Amino acid sequence: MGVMRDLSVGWLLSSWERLNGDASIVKKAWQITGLHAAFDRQVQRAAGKMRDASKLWRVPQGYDAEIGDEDEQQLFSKGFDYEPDEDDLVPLA
Amino acid sequence: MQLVSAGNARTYHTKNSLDVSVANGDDKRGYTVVLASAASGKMLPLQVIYGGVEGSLRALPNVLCRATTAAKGFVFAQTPTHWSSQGSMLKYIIGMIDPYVRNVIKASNGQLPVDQKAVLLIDYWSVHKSEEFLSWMKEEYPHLIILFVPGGTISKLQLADTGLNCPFKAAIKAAYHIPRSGCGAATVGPCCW
Repeated sequence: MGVMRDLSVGWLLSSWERLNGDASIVKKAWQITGLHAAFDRQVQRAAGKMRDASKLWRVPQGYDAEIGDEDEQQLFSKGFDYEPDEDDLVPLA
Repeated sequence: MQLVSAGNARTYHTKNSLDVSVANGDDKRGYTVVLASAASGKMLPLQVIYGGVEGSLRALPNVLCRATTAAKGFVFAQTPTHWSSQGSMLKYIIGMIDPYVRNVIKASNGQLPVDQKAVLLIDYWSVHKSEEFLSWMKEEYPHLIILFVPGGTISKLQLADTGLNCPFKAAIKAAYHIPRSGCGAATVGPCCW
């Protein structure tokens, strides 16, 4: 069993290297969810839209992500100037 | 003699035998792999969780394998069930997420402030939403802002489910069939044998 366990690490490592070496796979995942657009600008705003639209966005009671204006400015002021489009968000229905 | 299973959990053998060997009925040893990716397209190293008591080295891969993968940033953890737990999640933040964010800040050569904030998007899992975890995060890592994938939308909005797990599993299955002699020592190193 120990041999298989050791082998499995090799499989994991080579598989991870394979995916990590092809950024298009990871980027594709981001594109599928539409989060590439949301993250480019304002995750919180996008999340708010989805929450309002679908009532599916649930967070633990009493917990708030607490993204203030300053945080938002710091998060998104470094070269992200993409204005998210509603069409970039995956419809939840 | 080795018996062939009839396809269920029963077979013929001497009564009260402690160990009955059945063809193709070997023990399975599960483990959990935690995947994460960054918006830049980079896939973070893996956290691999094995079953066993914390500190029981017999349950982990050998030291050479661990050293090889740790050098790539892999993190190993142990839980009794091999599933993620509160403890393994804390280890993941400490050993994986925080170092990654710090490295990104460092690599920016001063373009990002040292207290640059980052968003951690995680799914709506009981450990993630627990008061203990969220309080700990706020106290220890106030620069990491947690957002949750909306409950019930995992299949559409959780990155790993939508686009990472499938190719990763396919890559692992493909790796099963690589002849050991062709493993490529530079890639896999001592874990190849």
